[in-house]
Amino acid sequence: MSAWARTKQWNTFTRIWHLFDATWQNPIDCAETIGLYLKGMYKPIYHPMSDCGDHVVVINTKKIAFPGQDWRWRAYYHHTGYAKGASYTRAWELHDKDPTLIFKKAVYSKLGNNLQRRYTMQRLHLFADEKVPEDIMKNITNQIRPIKIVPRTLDTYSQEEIKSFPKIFDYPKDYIIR
Amino acid sequence: MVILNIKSFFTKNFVKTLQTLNIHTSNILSVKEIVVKEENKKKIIEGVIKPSERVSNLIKTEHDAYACPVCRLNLDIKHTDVLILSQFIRKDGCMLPRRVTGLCKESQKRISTLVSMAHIAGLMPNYVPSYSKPNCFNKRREWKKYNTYFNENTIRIRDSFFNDKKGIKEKFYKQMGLEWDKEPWKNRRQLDVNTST
Repeated sequence: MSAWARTKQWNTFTRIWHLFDATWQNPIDCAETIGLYLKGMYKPIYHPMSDCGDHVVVINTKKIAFPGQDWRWRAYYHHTGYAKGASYTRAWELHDKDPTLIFKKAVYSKLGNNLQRRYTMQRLHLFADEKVPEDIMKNITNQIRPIKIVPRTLDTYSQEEIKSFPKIFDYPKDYIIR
Repeated sequence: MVILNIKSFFTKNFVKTLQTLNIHTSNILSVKEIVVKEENKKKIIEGVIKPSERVSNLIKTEHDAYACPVCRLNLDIKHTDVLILSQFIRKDGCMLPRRVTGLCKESQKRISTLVSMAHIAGLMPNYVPSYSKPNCFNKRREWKKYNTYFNENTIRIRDSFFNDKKGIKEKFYKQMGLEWDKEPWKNRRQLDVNTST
């Protein structure tokens, strides 16, 4: 094997580290794309027998978003194994205890029931805040594009921006501004 | 408004140019503002007439159809477009009534739900009632403290008179011997030009 072919093989089979920012993202929608990166399914050399998965570092999992009333009504099931051991916790209660657990469960359920599932989950690194240890941060070479656009609040705009924005209608003649 | 009696002038193009130029002899676009002053133990309340700030930034549409300002633009407005939605509310975050906004019944209903969505998502923290505490959006409890967003497809509006998806109304009109207009706004448009003369 020549030196050129050897380096080509090293490059193809190295594990790439991706960064993903989870602010205002739905974890259940994100889990599908993150699962592709963890298994390495976006690569042309992919095969289930070949070990070509990547690492994904997810930050800001505390700031994830759910649609409508899902924080209130989405329940997570757990059973201890003993009689009367079933328990249901609401999503917001689970998020209070551990802000990374909802994201972890979402990815875990999307990966599919394999023997390889536990090993692919080891390549997922979840952080509640922006604080990432340096030995992880120095490996990162790529950023995954966010799925949902992060909305901007009105107080972040300046007064000039709001005034110069095109207006749809004008007030009637004798309208009193309040 | 400028009033002309010569009928030949009132083609569609002439009306268009009048609207784009905004020629007005009277003071038509003016807004009142109540000012409260205190001088020598006296409280003076007066309504000051001011030119509205919106005149220079108003959108001018190409056609002169008789449609409400939102239907005319044919925009897909979402609850995250706070710069648009903030035009339809008061300072306390309340939705303006239909006689002020001039919207049709459906779009008024739609935009009022979009405004409430934006309030729940906490996208307009400046527009809150006077009695609410400062930083009330940061002090939310339980499930309200986490980020929520909404899907606009969940907005349900009752069918209007002209929305005839199943074709029931058209059948009924044919039985009665009447004509059903599939595009009633076109008729309205012509009527509007004639009434101006």
